[in-house]
Amino acid sequence: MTQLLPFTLGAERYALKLTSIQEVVDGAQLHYLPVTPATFLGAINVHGQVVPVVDLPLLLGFDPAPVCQRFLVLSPQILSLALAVHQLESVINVDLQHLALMQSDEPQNCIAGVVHWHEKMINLLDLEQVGHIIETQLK
Amino acid sequence: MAHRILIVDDALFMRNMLRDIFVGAGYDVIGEAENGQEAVRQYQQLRPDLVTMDIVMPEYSGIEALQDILAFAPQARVLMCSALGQETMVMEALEKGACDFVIKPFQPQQVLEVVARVLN
Amino acid sequence: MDMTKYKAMFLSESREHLQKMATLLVEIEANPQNSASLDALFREAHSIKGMAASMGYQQTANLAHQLEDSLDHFRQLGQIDSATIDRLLAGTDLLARLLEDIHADRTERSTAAFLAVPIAAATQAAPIAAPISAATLPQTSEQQIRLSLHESIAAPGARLLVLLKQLESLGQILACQPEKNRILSGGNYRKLDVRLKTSVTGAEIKERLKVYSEISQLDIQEPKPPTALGAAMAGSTTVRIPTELLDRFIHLTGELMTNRYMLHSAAQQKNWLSLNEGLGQLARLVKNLHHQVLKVRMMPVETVTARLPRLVRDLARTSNKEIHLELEGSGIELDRAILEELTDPLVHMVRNAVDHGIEHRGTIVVRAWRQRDQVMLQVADNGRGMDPQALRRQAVNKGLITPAQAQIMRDYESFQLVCLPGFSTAPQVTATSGRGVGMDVVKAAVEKLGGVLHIESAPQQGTRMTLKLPLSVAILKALLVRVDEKLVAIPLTRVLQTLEIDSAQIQMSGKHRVFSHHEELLPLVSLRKILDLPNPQAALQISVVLTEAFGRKVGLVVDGFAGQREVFVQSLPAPLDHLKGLGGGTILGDGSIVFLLDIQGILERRRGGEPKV
Repeated sequence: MTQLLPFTLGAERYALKLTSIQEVVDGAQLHYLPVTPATFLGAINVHGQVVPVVDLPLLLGFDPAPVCQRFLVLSPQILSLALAVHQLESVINVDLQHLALMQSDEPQNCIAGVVHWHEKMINLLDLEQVGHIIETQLK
Repeated sequence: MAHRILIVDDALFMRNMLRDIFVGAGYDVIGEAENGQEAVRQYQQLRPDLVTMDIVMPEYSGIEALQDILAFAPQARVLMCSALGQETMVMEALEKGACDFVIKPFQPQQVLEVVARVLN
Repeated sequence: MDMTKYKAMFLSESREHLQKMATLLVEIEANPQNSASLDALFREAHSIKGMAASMGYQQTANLAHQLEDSLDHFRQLGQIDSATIDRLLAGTDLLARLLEDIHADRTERSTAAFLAVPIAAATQAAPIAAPISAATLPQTSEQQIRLSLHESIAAPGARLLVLLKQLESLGQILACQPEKNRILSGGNYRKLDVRLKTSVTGAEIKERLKVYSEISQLDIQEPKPPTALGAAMAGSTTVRIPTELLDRFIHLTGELMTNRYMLHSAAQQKNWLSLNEGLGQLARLVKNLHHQVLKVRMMPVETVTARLPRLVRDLARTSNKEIHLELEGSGIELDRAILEELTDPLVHMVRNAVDHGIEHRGTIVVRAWRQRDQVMLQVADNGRGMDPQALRRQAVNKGLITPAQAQIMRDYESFQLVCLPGFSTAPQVTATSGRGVGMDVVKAAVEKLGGVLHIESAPQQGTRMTLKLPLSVAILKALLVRVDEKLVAIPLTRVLQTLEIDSAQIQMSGKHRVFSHHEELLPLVSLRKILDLPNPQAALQISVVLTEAFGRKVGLVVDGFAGQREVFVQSLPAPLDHLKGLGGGTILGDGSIVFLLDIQGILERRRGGEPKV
């Protein structure tokens, strides 16, 4: 069984594996991060580390709506970033055997696969792709 | 000169099949062994360019034979043969020094591709 | 016995010995009868041999042995000829490549071809040692390899392991995603993302992986290749610390522990007086600790100048010039992070001096000295110098400045023109320094470190390029400024002056705002505008940071000043680390984050990379 942390982006439900998240910080003060595009909301201080925060819905082109003030700080081995999302839900346990892998014909959606859970569809976020998009944006 | 291959498998059927694939492609099959101990003995004697090693064999497993061979010939090229669903064992063998692997049921084209790149 | 733990030490020490050998060889060439240098040379080769043999690096030991043998021969002879020096230098080059092999965990390359010709016998028909160039020195670069497997592949995890092994055989794996032990624990992975430090090219890797038909997608990205010198520095990541310094750390740790207990009990007893005293003590201890830690990071300038004698010798030879190199102040210490960034700029400047400065014969002096809390590093030549008039003309011809600008430009300002991208004083392209590429890169590198580049020159007297550098990058003094109720920091080395000017002093020159300062008309640039922030309310007093960019003074308009601080700068994580204009982040005492601006970078952003003033 794998633990997933689901969240919403617009009307879509996405999730990340708990192992790719270092921690969820609640209500951290956002500090001004100059020179970056609007997808960077600012930077937060996570135990003395400067961590930039990315507005994930904006990055993926969802309709603008206020983001949740609880940020997902990703595991630094994967991406040294924190993500802001629309709504955070509670952790679920799923059997990733039933994960339907996606062919990446729409890579801009950043979906690595789809999990069926209690008759709901949850998109597994492709962090690698997220990293790619951010990189291209900064070029 | 054609590359020299030693085939290790407990099933005669598999040995024959591999032999046909190799000979058909112009390789020289210089020996066959049906268990791990026999494989190690023949390796010392024949010094083949490549060994195909079945992972699951009674008594003395392919992984043990692989380690014994590498112990005295660290440069030995050993190709593991495994059935579907034995991925953990394959990974163990790779960690222990096997150079590559093929999965049964064998598809001649695939086997030859792997053998060619290992021998290069 | 497990020797791998000694490998790093072996590599760093061998590199030092090799470096000394190259320096000594160049010295001996200038002064062939110096038997003391020959003795020293012999001992260096002997040390490498001994170490390589005990580590079991056979090829390296054999080669060092042959060098040692022949040096012994010349030592007894009491002199050495120039052709032999070429041959010995080629030997040290080969040793450097062997060390690269060892560093990358590759099998050592064969030395048989080199050893086949005895060094002494080769003196009749010795090939001239190839000059140091990107092609002859071992070059490692980083390659980012991303691959995916076909959906239908059985046992994908094991397949990825095989591919990982193949990549390992090509170099050193710096990072791997997913990590190897996650693959081993049986995750269902079909993608691999590897950062590889290797001496093979991306095309070669592609070729090697072509035979794996299970790969459905393959993407290899080649980041900008570091120069050979840079790579050599990057290779030595061990630092040697004198035990005396370690003792001081332990001592300080003890004091900090005592302090902690004192603060603890003071807090419990609510004894404000001793709490205050304890905090004072803590401040002193932290300052001391910081001071000691910085010492560990310090390395002598020699680390980057030691290669110059060999470089200059080879450059002089290819360009048929007679050049004498003097190194001064090589013992001056700088933060290693700064030194690493200086390797390339220094080589550029020395090459420029050889190519464009010295005509037939001359002297290049590379000197370092301390000036208060800054280090100065200077490359000076006594060559043809630069003609301000010619520089202005050329800049106008290339459309880099207008004729009007050229007319009011002072001589000392005109020398800065060589730092404009696309500006070259060389009429022809030369093999060694190309087409004036370089000075803009040098300037950018120095400014990124919070330093300043200063150029002086006089026709027929020579050129002096001076770098003014902070002692350390990690901690620097910064000016905090307010814009749109936000704080940003500017390295103090980039601030010439802070001014409060009257809005009446501002005039328009064409579309640009300018103000008069000491009888100079200087352009004003709004920081809000650069950072895409809303326009401010009109004000009577305007705060201006006087800075310098592209060789000219510029006034940067801010909302206000918020004081100076010593800040500890955290470099930003990828991909923000290469963002133009952003220097790094720092956390202030209250936990808030302030980002440092790289002035040159933000002004370039504003101009869309076009450096017109």
